[in-house]
Parts: sequence; structure tokens; C-alpha cells
Amino acid sequence: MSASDEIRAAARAAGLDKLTDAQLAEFAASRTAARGYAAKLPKDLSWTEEPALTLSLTPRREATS
Amino acid sequence: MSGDLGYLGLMQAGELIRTRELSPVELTRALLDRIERHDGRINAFIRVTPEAALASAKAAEAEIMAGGWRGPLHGVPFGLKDIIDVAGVPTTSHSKILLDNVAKTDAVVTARLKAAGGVLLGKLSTHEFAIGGPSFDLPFPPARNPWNRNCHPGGSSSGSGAALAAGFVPAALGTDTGGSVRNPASMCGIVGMKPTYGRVSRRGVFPLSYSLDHVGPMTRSVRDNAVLLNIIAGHDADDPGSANVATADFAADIGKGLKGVRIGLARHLYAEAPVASSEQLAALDAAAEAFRALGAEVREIRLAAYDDYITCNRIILTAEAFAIHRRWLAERPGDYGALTRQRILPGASIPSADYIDALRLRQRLIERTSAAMTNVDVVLTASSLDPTCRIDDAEAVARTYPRQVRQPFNVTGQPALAMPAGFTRDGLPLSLQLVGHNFEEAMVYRVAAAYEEATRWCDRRPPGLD
Repeated sequence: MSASDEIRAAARAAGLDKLTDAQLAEFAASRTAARGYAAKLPKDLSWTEEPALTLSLTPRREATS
Repeated sequence: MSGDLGYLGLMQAGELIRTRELSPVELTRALLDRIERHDGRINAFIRVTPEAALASAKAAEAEIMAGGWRGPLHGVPFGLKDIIDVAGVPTTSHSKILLDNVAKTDAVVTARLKAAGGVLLGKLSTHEFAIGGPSFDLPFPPARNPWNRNCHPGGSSSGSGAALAAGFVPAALGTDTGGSVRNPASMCGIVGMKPTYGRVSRRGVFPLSYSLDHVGPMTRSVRDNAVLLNIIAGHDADDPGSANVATADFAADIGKGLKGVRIGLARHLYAEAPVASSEQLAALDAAAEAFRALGAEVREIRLAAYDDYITCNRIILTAEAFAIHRRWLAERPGDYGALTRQRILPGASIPSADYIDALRLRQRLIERTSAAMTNVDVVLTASSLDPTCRIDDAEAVARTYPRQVRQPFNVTGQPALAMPAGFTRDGLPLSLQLVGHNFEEAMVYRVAAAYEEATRWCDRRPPGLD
């Protein structure tokens, strides 16, 4: 598989099958950027360290008539 | 009332209206006239709504004359970043994608401003979807900096910052996911607050990143900013991120002075790697001395490593933004501006495990930052590392993006305020940032107001806007 075929396949896998050639070039650059971000994640996160989430449950509300 | 009304502050205007020395209609007409005369060169507004504004102003005037004064915003004009819904008015997000997106209801913040009697003048420019700009390939031109119209006003709440600096409105709202209230505040020489995450409802505001988005007040003075936050803050049971925390008067501690206040100087975030420009660095050093002279105890502290905050923000922001935009990116990729696509697309290639790890890193950073601030009341650090640059120099604009200290506090969710800290030799604004403990905006305003009163940088006006 050529590099451009690989990029097109990756874009399709992400649901992006209408990108023009210029937009595929943007997608290719964005993959490099994403890998760059991921490479900087710390490698020492313990399984005990939970994610920061915004989920905050509340009791059910009273029904309104 | 005679004289130029363009630079009346929110509180000044509100008081003149309360005492019937100034008519809301007169003020609204004066600002609409100012927008008409100058905005063709600044592009702060996407859409001015003069008929609705004058109708609101007339209603406010009648109510006040009948003894029904509602508070400091009653009869005072304001503007909204065009990702915030106003019933019956398009929310375009500065994008071709949403050109015809007429809002059915008001955002919660819009409703609060209207209930306080504010007069909406219109919708303000933004970077496309609060991320893609400044861009010249969108349906509306980018806002320009009133201090130098060849320069970038910062973003993404670019129209809000520009409108305030140009004297078009005394109050505006912006949103801040990676610094988008504080960046234009820094570049335009005004005051911008990103409140604590959950302090202000996001309902009715087009999202960029659910867990990083904040709505914040933008004004020309610290007290005005606190008063505007008083109006928009409060729990919203229908916003899943809203904090059920009591609000008090955020301006209550302004004027109490800085004796006994402990300020942590996070110099490592702007004087190691990356390093601020020499003029910005000098302004921050001078600010630290000014705080000492005002009676505060200032000592250096170290928060977490700069790169960890940035990595965390980037992964969460792009992953969440891609989730929001992927259907339109799949169906209408050409309807986005190129910069928007380029900034959102990395989210398509972030594995779920990396997103989760970024959220775990976020919790670690929240805890480490809080621990580092145990013995201080606020943190003083940089907002931008450089003054603004030419808006048509794409490479210069791109270089400014990683050269800022705003994203750390979207990650931690703490209140963070950017304000003027001087001017360059070329007359462009310099800035500083003050960061508080969660839900302690009142302390941030106390410290900021003392500095503002001592320096009065807020009194300078951009040239050529008489």
C-alpha cells in the first residue's frame, strides 16, 4: 500500500471519505501532530490514577405537572 | 449628556442611567453610531442588531423612569461572541456551516443579561467555531486589533476584545477553551476572566470541547468584569458541567488592598522554556515589584511542567472537538476554513487510550497545581509571551499559539484573569495573568483591581478612533 493509499484508508476509517487531495494532505499532517501530542504523555501513569471527568450525578428530580 | 460615550465603563454608564443623567437610548444610539463609523475597519461585529437594540433601550428607559431600575446593567449595551445563542438571531460561529442557524432560544447567559436589563447591540466575530482563525477564507472577515489594524486582536473571542478596545461596547462575553477570552484581552489591552469551570452555564453556547469550555466576561476594567460575572454566574441544573456552588458578590473585596495577600510568582512558565519576549518579561517583573509595593507578599513557586499542561489540553481539546465536528467534516469538509480543519483534524487520529490518559494526566495536574498553591492566594504569571503580530502573517500568528500560559488553567479549571500590564515601545498592549483557587474569583478581582488602580494602564485608548 502506498503512503497516499494509507492516508486515504486512515481518513476513511475516521469517517472522512470526501476529503480532496489538499484536505488529505492536511489529514496526513494532522496525524503527525496527533502522534506528537501522544508521545509527550507521561509514561508513569498508574492504574490507580483515575481520569478527570465532568460526570456528576444528581438524584432524580420531582415530577412537574 | 454631551461628550464621547464610547469609553464609558459598565458601572459608569449604569450609574449615570440610574441617576437619569444618561438615557439608555442616547447611549445605545451613540454606540451604534460609533460602530457605524469605525467597524468597517475593525470587523468586530458579524451582525449588528440596531432595531432590537433601540427597542430594548427604549423599554429600559421607560422602566427606569417608572422607578423599576434593575441593577448596573439596566439600559447598558453589550455584545456577544457569535457562538452564543440569542433567540431569533443566527448563531453562525463565523462559519459557512451555520450561516442559517437561527437560534430558537436564548443561551442561559443571554437570558441572564437580558433579565438584568442589558441592551444587546449584536453578535461579535470569532475564530471559526472558536478555533479556526484568524482566517480570510470564511464568510466574514476576521476582526482586527484597534491598537493597530494591521495586527491580530487575539482569539478566538476576537470581536469581543476588539469591540471593547474600540469603544463599541462596555461589556461583552467570550468563551475560553485554550485561552480564548484571555488571548484577546491580552492583545487588545482589556480585562478578560475565565471563571472556574462550571461557574457559568454553557447551555446555548456552541461547544468546542465539553470539558474545557468556559464562558467569561470581558470588559475594560476589573470592577466592571466582576459585576458582569455577578450577572452571568450561577448553577444551571441542565448544564452537566455546572457547579452547584453558591455565588457571592465577586466585587465585594475590591478596594481591600493587598496587605497580607500572598502571591505565587510562576516565573518558570514564562522565563525558562518557553521564554517571553524582553518587553513582556520586563512588564511581568515590573508587575511583581508593583504587587510588592502594594503590600503583597510575592514569592516564586513552581506549578507542574509547562509541557504537561499543553499536551493535556491539546489531546482533550482536539479529541472532543473532532467528536463534535466529525459529521460535518465527513459531509462538508470544504465548507470549513482551512485553519479550522487543520486544528480539529488531529482529533481524528488520537487513540481512545491516549484520550483517557490525557484525562488521567489532567487529574494529576489539578492535584499538583493545587498542592503548589497551598500557601498562596493567587498566582501571577504571563498570559501571552509576546505582543500581537501582523494579522496577515500566517507564520507569525502560528508562532503565537504555543507561546502562551493560558491552557494550563483550562486544564485545571481554575479562575484566571488577563489584564493590561503596560505597552510596547510601538504602543501595543502587554499583559499579565492572575490565577485563583477554584471558586475564589473574588480574590483574583481584589488583586487585579489593586494593580489596575496603581498603574491605570486601562486609561489608554487606541489611536484614531475619535
